[in-house]
Amino acid sequence: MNESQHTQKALEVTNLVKYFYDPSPFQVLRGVSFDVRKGEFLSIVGKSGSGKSTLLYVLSTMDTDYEGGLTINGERLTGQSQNRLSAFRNEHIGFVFQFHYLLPEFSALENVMIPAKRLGRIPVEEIEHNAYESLRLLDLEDQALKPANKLSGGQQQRVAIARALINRPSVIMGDEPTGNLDSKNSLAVQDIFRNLAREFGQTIICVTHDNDFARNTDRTIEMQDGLIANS
Amino acid sequence: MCSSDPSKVIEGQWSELNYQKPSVILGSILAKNLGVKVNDNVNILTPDGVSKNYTVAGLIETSVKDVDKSRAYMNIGTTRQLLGKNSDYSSDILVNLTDRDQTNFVKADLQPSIQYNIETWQEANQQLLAASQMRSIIALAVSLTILLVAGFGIYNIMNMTINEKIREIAILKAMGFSGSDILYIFLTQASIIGVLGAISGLILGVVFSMLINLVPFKIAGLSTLPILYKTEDFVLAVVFGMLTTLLAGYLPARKASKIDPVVIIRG
Repeated sequence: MNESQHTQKALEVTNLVKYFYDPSPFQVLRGVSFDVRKGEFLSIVGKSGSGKSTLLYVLSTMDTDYEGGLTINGERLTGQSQNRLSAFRNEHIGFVFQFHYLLPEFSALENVMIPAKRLGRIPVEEIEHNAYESLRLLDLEDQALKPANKLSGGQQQRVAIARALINRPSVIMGDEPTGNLDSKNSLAVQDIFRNLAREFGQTIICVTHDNDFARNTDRTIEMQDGLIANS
Repeated sequence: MCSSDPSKVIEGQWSELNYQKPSVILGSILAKNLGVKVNDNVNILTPDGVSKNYTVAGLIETSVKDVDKSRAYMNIGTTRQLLGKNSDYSSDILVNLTDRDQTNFVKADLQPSIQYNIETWQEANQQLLAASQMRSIIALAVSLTILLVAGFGIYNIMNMTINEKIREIAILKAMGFSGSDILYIFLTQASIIGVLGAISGLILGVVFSMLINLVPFKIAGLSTLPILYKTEDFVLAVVFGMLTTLLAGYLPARKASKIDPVVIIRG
């Protein structure tokens, strides 16, 4: 790989190995290696227990109990301190979960603003403006000031996506983002992700068991028994 | 404890001892036991067998039972004559200080130039002092116990809050909040509780003290329950209140800061 091809990689993993110890030692990741180009929309599929979600949480920097190498945006993250990883995650990774996990008493707008406030790089008024714009693009401007627990499931998931985008992260990672939505909202979210990738060049990695979702992505990696089935 | 305080004379006059020479002022319970009133006569018999009559010029009440049932006061010249002593004789000299806590200093000052034994009131009243110290220790123990209970209350509240919000903590960590960010959030919550508690406790404490100060209590020359307002007591109360809160809140906050987001999110 020459230098320019290296910098085109948003994320790279080499030989990821991970064990679970409860109830007895079990190797859940057996040496996973792959990379993701900038602007690529990648889906990771596999049966239950294949290790796909475990893989995602290692990629997210939240799980540091593994062997192997993880590099995001050219920065090697394996072995870094928890504080460095938190700061990195805040700035470079946007996460969308299966359950929206918004702070219920805060408004949609305030929820979206939280990661940017934590980053603390731009003034609050500017953050608020960006957050509002985000919600407007996702058709949620009328719900901006409503408390999160008063929004529908589909609306909450879109707020979660806006929150994941607020710091213009290098990578968006999704853990079954449509898993808890009906088909209409599911399609809406799929469209949003596809637009983010195609029009805004956003790198996206999603774990999903929804084959329709996977078909609409640029590339699919299938996990099987802790290894990639087709690379 | 000096009880020759003219203001404690409840009947008759202290000054009578100077005019009508053969007179005596009796403790109120002593007078009652002897069945005498002011202007009655009492007979005093000394160990040498001398017997003389004296007029009761007044009654004194110190509210200390042991004193009121055994003590009598006479003019010193009259007493010396009764006991057949010279005009420069005395058996005890009682010195009354303006600051009762200075006794040891005064004793140290005087002892070199005086060949007699000097005894401070603390030495003479070891029992009283011990009892007073006991009461102070008990009061302190009660205060500390109350603080402990309050501390447990706060510890409980913080634990419950954190358990209810455990998913939100995990989400914040997923968004890049560090362990110390989380610690800071919950310590702030504990501090707010501490400050609000200290202020309201201070106000309520002053109000209740003022109310207690109005309760009638006609003993030992007091008219109502006595309250001493010392600034340092209030300051200490606020400081200890806040310290307890922070300590009690720290452990749950630390627990919150260490939770593993992956475990919570993946269920």
